[in-house]
Amino acid sequence: MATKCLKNANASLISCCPLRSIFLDSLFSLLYIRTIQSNFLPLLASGTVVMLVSRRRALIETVVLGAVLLGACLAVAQPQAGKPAWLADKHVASGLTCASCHGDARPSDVALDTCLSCHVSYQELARKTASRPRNPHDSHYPGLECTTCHHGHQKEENFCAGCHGQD
Amino acid sequence: MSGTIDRRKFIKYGLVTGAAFGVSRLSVMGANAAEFVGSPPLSETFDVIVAGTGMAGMSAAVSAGENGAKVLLLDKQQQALAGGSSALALGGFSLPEADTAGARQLFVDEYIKKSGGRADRALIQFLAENVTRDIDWLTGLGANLMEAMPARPYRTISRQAAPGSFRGMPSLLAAMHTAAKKLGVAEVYRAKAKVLLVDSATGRVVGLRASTPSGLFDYRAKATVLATGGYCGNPKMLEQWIGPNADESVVRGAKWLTGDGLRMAEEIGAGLIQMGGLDSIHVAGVSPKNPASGQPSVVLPYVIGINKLGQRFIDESLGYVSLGKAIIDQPGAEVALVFDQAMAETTPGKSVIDQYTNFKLDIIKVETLEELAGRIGCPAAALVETITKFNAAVKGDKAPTATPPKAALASKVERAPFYALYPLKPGLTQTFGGLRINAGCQVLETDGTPIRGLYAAGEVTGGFFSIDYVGGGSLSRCVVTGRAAGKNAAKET
Repeated sequence: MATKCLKNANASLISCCPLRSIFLDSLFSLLYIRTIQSNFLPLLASGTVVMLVSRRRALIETVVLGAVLLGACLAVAQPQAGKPAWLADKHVASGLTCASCHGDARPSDVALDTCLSCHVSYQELARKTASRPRNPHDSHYPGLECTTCHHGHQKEENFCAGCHGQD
Repeated sequence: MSGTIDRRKFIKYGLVTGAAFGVSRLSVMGANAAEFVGSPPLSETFDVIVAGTGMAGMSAAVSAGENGAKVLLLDKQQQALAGGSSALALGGFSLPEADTAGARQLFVDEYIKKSGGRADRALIQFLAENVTRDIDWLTGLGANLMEAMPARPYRTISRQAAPGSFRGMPSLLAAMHTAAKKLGVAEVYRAKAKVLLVDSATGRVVGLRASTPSGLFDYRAKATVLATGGYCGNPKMLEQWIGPNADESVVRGAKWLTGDGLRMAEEIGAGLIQMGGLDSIHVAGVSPKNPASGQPSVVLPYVIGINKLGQRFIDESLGYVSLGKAIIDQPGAEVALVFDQAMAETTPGKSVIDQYTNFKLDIIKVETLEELAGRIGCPAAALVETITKFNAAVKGDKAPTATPPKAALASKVERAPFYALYPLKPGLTQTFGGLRINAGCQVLETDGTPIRGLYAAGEVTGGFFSIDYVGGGSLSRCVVTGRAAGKNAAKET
C-alpha cells in the first residue's frame, strides 16, 4: 500500500496514505518534544496543516515539510515549561509539596530547621562543598538561614560574593 | 433647613472627626512622611527598645537590663547576621595609657588632634572618663580581651577582643548576648525599624514602627536607643554626603547598614553633624578578597606604601586611614605595602603574616626587589631607587628627608626575603558623621534641644571623629555610648 501511494503523484494525504500521516505525525512529535517539550496542540495543528496542504509528490513533500517544520520548531523554541525552574520546582519534581516546606502558612519563610529536617546539618553540607576555595557552609556566619542563598521561588544568590567577590 | 448644611452639626461633626483623626494614631512629625493607612498591631510597652545588635546596641541592652529595665532588642537582619559591622571588626578598643587624670588628658589630646580639632571636646572628655571602667565592665560580663598593647604612635593603649586580628568580635558579642539573656532582654530579628513613634501630646518618642516578615508592628517603650550603625551600605547617602563616586568603593562592614537610624531621627527633627565630604568617612586599604579582615593596619605604620609608579606616596606613620584615603588618588587606585625579613620577625610583622595566613590571603615573598616590583606591578628600577633613597634617609626611627618624609616608626627595607601585601584598594569602613548627641547620649535637635525618649549610641552618632581617628576609638565609643544610653534610657519613667 505504501509503494502504491508513493507512485500516485496526485493523491492527497488524507485519502491516500494513513501511513504517511502517521509517519509525519510521529516525526514531528519526536522533533517537537525533543526541542521544545511543549504541549501537544501546536504539534497537532501543524501536522494537520501539512496533511491537508500537500498534494504533490509525497516523498519530496514529506522531506521538505519535515525540514520546514523542524526549522519552525527550533526557531520558536520556548523555555522548557514542565522542566524545574526554581528550587521550589526542583523539590516538587522530587515529590514534595508546598506544605512540605511551608506547612499551612503560605507565603512564608522557610526556616533552617525545616531544610535540615531532610538536609541533615550544616556540617554535612560543609563536607559536600568542602572543595570550594571558600566553603559556603562553613563561614564566619554560622547558622545562616538556608534561604539567604537558596531562594525557593526566584533565582538563587551567592551571599558570600556580596563581600568576597566570585571566588 | 433642608438642602443646606446645619452649621452647628457641621462644626460639631467636623471637630469630632478632626480630633478622632488626630488621636487615632501616633504619627510622625516629619513633613515628608508617608501616610500610614490603619494601625499595625501594638506590642506590650517595654521600658527600653534598642535598635541594633552591634557593640553599641548590645552594650545599651545589657546596661539597660542591669538598671532594671524591661528591654526589647531589635535587629533588621536574621539572627545569624546579628552584630552589624562590629562582628566583622578587628576588635581593638582604645584606652588611656593608665587610669589617671594625666593619661586621660593625653587620650583627649590625641583624639582632638587626630580629628583636626573638630571633635566635640565634651564628647571626647566623656569617652576618656568612662572607657577604662567600661572596658572592665565588658570583661566582667565575660568578654575576653587581650592584654593592653601600646598604640603607637599615639599616647594611648589598645586591647583586642581575643584572639585578636578580626577573630575575636563574634565571641565577644556572643558573651554580651548571654548576659542580655540572663537579664531577660527580649530579642527580635528581621524587625526593620521604619519610623519613630512620637506622642502628639508630649512630643516624646514612645517607640518605633518596624517592618517584619508578617507586616508592620508597633513596638512601644518609654525610651528608644538607636544603635543602627552608619550608612556605608547606602549608595545614595554616600553620593549625597561623601561624594559622587563614593558609592564605588568596596564596603568593608555590614552591607545592610543603610543609615536607617539617621533617617528616622532626622525625620523628627534630630540634628546631623559633620556629615560632608571625604573627612566624614573612614577609608582603609584592604584586600579586595576580604574587605573586612584583609586590612593590614597592625603593620602598616611601620612599613612603606608603594604605588604603581614604584614610589612612596604618604607618611605611613599617619596610620591606616590616612593611607587608605591616599590610595584613592594613586594610579589605578591600588597600592602595595612592602617590608623585609627584619620587619617580618617583629611583633607587628608576625601578627600580619599570621592574620593573612588565617584568612587565606596571599603574601608576596620573594628574594629580590626586582622580583617584588614585577609582582606588585611597578617598574623595578623605580622601586629599587625609592627604597635605596628611603633607607638612606632613615635616621633613628624617623626619615625626615625621605619623599615624603616619615615622621615616626621608620625602618629600613634591606634584608631579604622581601614581602608585599598587594593589592590594597580603598574600602569604606564606617561613617564618622551622624546624630548630634550630648554626653548623656540623648539625641539632640540641630539647636541642641534634647528629643525626649530618644537616645543614640555607636556609629550612628556624630561628633567623635573626623578626617581620621585613633584606631580602636570606634569600638570604645560604642561601648561607652551604649552603656550610658542604656543606663539613661532605663531611668526614663
